[in-house]
Amino acid sequence: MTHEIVIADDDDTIRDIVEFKLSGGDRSVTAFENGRECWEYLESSDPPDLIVLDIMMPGLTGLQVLERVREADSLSSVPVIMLTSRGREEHVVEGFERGATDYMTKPFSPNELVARVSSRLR
Amino acid sequence: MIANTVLIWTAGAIALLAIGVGVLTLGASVWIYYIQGRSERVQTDLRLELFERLFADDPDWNGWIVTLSRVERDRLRVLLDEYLRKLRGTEHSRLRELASAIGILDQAMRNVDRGRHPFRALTWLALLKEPVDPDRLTSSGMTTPQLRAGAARVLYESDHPDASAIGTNLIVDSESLTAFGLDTLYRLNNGIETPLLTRLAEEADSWDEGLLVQVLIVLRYCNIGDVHGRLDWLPPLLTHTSPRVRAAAVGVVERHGWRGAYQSQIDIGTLLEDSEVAVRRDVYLLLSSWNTDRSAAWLRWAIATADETDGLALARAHMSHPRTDVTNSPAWLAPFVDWVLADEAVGRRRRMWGVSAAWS
Repeated sequence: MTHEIVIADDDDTIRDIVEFKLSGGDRSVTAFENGRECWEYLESSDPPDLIVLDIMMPGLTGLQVLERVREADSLSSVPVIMLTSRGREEHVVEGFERGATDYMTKPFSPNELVARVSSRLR
Repeated sequence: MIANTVLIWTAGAIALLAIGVGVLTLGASVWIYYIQGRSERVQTDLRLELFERLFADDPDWNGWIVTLSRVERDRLRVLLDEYLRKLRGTEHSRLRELASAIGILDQAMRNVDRGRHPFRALTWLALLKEPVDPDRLTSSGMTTPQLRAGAARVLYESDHPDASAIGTNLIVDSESLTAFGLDTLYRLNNGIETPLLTRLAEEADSWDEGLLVQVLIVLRYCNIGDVHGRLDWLPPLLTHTSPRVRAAAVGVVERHGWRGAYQSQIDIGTLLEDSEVAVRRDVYLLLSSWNTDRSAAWLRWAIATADETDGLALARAHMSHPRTDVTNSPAWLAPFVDWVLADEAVGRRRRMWGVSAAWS
């Protein structure tokens, strides 16, 4: 069984790294460069197994996508990991309050992200 | 006749000059376009190669570097600068090895010693998290606030055991702080160690107003470990002659003075009568964050005595305090309560449906 992971990040480099590290084996990655495209895909496709969201993105922010995910019946239980440079305490608290499953700050360790994703997909 | 000849020659010379300048401009543009295009192609190829090697079992940086031209090495530095800012962990260590192999580390150390392009050198050392002796960092003279903040940042990024104390002293020895200095000062003081508290206790009354305000704002955002007995310098600042200092001091009380021992030291009545709107507004915020009967009573008193100048701030504070009841507020506050409710509704819609431009 293949796990689908959806990622949204407007930074090409980060997106490439995350896509590269999370792809392969029993995982496939669908990547988007802004929040609106990501939400349109989520709205019109089968629910993925996990979502990785940047916060500061054009179109819709990661937090806006997260709120919509939590409001949608078919997506509300999908784990969402926020991957963002907003690392102050209040930002992290806000992320969890809006329904994030996990929160990682940039600069980030790709190996740590893989470990966190794997633990959520078990 | 002679005049006509001179005129014709002059016009011809000007025309030739114009044509020459035009040709030169066109040639330069084509050349720059070619160089930029080549540089971008080089960088794209390098990015792919760097990416593959970064995640390979053995990146073999040394074997790769000897195959690169000077232009390619220059572009690789740009890529390294970008990747080092975005990654940590294993990949950061690998990038550090690459930077060392390409000579960036040695060059940065040499430049720090010689005081040559010192901020750029400090930036590389911070990106590489290179441990450097503090005396060596400052030996060539840290003559500007930016350089002092840069040296402090190197100590912070390399986890130097005395980074907080040494870095804080380096930064607050300036007359005012840069944005980079503020950010570094926050990082150095956010946590168990907070040398800023010691500096404030010893020197707050002798600091320039601008520096004092900046430091107080940084402290407001820091998480502080044990503050027992370490905020005694704060109450006098609440009656400082500068309204900016008073407002910044109230901000620190709002964040860190919630402990009962400090609350009792604060003369709320005097603060609520402060002539400066910014001070009163922060006091309302402070009271709304203190979930006590005493703070609720002060808020009710403020509503009974304040005028419409403070209406919006008071309404917000009143509505966010868990122990006050907005239905019992006086009639003059009602429009402000409505405004806050409408503003919150717009905020909720914005968050849900992205009404605003989405960058936040």
